[in-house]
Amino acid sequence: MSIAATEERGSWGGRQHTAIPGFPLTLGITLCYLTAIILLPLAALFLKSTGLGFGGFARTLLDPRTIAAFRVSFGIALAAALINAVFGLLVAWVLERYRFPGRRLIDGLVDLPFALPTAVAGISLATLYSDNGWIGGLLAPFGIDIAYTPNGILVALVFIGLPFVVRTVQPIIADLEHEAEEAARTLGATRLQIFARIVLPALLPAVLTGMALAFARGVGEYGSVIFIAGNMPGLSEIVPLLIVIKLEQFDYAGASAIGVAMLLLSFLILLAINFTQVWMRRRYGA
Amino acid sequence: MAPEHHPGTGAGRIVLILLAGLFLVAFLLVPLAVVFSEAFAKGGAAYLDALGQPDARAAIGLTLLVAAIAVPLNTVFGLVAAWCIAKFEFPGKSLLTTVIDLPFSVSPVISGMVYVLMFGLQGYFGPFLAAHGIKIVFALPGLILATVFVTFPFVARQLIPLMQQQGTGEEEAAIVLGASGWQVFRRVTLPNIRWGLLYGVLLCNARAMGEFGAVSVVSGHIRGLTDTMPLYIEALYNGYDAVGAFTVASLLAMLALVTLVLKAFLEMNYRDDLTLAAAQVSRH
Amino acid sequence: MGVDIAGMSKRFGRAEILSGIELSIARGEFVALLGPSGSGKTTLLRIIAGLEAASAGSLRIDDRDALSLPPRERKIGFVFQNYALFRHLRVFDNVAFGLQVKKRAERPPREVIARRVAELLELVQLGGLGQRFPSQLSGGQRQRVALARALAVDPELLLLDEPFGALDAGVRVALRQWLRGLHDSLGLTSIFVTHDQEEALALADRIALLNRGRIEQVGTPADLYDHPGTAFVMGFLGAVNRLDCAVSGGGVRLAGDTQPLDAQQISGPLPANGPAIALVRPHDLRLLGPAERGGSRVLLRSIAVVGARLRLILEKSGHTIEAEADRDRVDASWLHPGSQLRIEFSRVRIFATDGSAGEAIAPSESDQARPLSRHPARAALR
Repeated sequence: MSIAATEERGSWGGRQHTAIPGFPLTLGITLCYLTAIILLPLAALFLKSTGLGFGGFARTLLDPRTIAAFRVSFGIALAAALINAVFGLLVAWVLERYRFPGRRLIDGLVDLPFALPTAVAGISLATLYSDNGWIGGLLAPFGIDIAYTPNGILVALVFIGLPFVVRTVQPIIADLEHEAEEAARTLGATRLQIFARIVLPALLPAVLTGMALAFARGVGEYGSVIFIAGNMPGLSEIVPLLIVIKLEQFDYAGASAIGVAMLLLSFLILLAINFTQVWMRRRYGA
Repeated sequence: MAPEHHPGTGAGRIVLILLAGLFLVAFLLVPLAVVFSEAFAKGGAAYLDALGQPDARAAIGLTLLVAAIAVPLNTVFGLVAAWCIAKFEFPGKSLLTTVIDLPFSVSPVISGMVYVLMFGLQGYFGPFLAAHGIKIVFALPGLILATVFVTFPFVARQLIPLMQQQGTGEEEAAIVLGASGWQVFRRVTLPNIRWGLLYGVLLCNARAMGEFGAVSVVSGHIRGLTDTMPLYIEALYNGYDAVGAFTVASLLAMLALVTLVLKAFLEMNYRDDLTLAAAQVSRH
Repeated sequence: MGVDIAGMSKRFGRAEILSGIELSIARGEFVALLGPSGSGKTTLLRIIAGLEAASAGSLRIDDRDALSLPPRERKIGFVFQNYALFRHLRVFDNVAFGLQVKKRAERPPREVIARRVAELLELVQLGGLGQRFPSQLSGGQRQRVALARALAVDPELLLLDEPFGALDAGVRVALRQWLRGLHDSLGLTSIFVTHDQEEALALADRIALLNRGRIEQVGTPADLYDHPGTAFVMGFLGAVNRLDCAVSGGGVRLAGDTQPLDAQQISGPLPANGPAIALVRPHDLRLLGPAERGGSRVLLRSIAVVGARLRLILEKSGHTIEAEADRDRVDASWLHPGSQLRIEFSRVRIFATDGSAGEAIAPSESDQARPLSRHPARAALR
């Protein structure tokens, strides 16, 4: 609560606003809607995956093709998140700290991956990075293939994840106290030292949050990836695609087993990142 | 906007700006340009011809129809949920907020799959539905359900922090002055959140019209019947009709651009009415 | 319109915010709910308004059971601490709101509403500002809009939550006199919440002083100031010095003194034998001249001139004491920091040390609740 409310309110951390009407009605509608749209279907997912029994569940997950798909999805999502951490930070810094022509336009453009439908992004990136595309054609003479290889997945996930880092870090840069940097400068620190020792520690929790969001999105991403990935089983086949393939073969139990594993794994990773973040916040007081 | 504190004389600053600019051009601007360049690769006549295809018209109509149902549903739900969460204290509130956020952290493919598991032929309610001749999966209801699932946090996520920040003072004042519950909402709360609401609806709509993974699983890909625009794009692209695919894609790209412009406009003019906290902006 | 509160309590989870509240307010009275942060005064006001539910007890407004009534049927006007003006409505529509939301059958015609709003805006001296938005007004103007809005529905009971809290000092004093006049001329019954003892003393017919969810004392400002029932009351209303003492056989001896205090130096009843605390106000200390006998020995730490008053910081066996005197009645020329003086106490009050008295003297929750620290002289002495 940010408002300077009545004094008592703060000390009890909120209170029952009995005078405001609509609590039973709105809570009832919310719970019903959530149950119908989200909770029941997700419960069906978990229930279906138990239909395999433990042995079948394990067999599905330990299948080399499944393991490879998990390695591709999680590994490349992590790599893309790391790239976005670096470039997202750079973009956020440039947008927040420098004034140059076209800044507002670029600032608005950063949200493009949020707004552009993934299928559109997918076919566009695939065309762009194929051997006869504008960028792929530049790289092909050097023997660098992007489209239809795991590199293509990386490109798609970098595209999808960029705004998460930029938009998380940007407001933190805006709120940074210039005094700390100026104090460091009066104490004789170089620009690089100021960045490494003053600015970066303050931004790290936000960068990590942005990375986590980009990573979570990247792991589940489907539309922008399948067009550029090549989708070779064991090499460039992502988990969501494997689920779709299983569904098309009417292997519902197998698909839900992979889905459950994916949900749990993403959840665990996000939890770990959350803990790191809490630890960092405590340490750097961000 | 804070004045620039780093004098940033000379090379360092220019290098950073160029580096960031180059990265953004390669990753954002060029892909956008490719869409339009490919769409018009064979000229305007081919573009118009692709749009004139009956299947293209059907896909556009279906996308509009799905959005026209899913977006209002989620708008009403978002308002109701935000009222409940922002104006009252109750145990389990943070759990409820987490559940509302859930679709953001679930792969779209899974979002679609859960409805196949429920309503598909081998699903829990499949036999019952088949016996009564009701088709949900591979039909319009499935598309709507999957779209509702995927887009449902947008309005609620936007409104909850906004309404929490605005507090309950004005509502209480209205109640003491004798306003009924509906009057409080209509005359006090709604005017205060209208820009935030519009913002949430805008993002919700962009996602609803562009959603691919979730609807792909429940659609059944019957061209002219259950293919929305993104699915139709996929079908054309896989059928080596690049011009057709990019032509339809260009419509969605324009929708994205219009969304971005409106979004930027709202952020510029009504920043205080949106509460653009970092967590909210980056949550989609 | 009278208000009767009996046996009222309010719990939130396991925390008891109000307990055993008994308070009767007569028609036409102007009553202050005074207390430090967290004392429960705002909660009490909100329960009277119907914005919050009581856990137990009864509330009668005009001899009707009000707890079961929704706010709109209690005939109240409420002025919120931060005014809670409808930011999207013009001043005119803010004031008209209560009339516009009436049921169709009871709603006055448009012209009547317009006339009534115009009258109210004249009344609060905001005529001509009806088309402004709240954000275009000063703090004092917003406060008066909030008041006009509350008055538009013809309340019989006016409730004000920290009505002057958000205002500058100068505006505050002017506005409170004006509010008092308005109360008298409209024949309202008013209850206002404040943490400012000076405001309560200057404005209210009666004060209910709350501490930790209980009413410590109810009475006229003079009553409370002259006859404080507890150490908390005395400490909250004006500056006090606090000294350890011992009560034995009807006599009181201050720590560090060899002689007990004379009976005429003490006001009010004595607690039972044993350790106790003595409270005395700074202006009830008198410097003894070299020729006078008796008194307590003290060390002069510092001395400051505050307008027409002289403020001395003294030390007496480990206690810091503040004393105050008229400048023209004391010859300051022989006073130097470090010199030994003798002082005489009068109107000393003795309270038992148990209970909340000890903490009450130095309330720690907020600066506003600590009368000593508010004196400008205090800052000057540092």
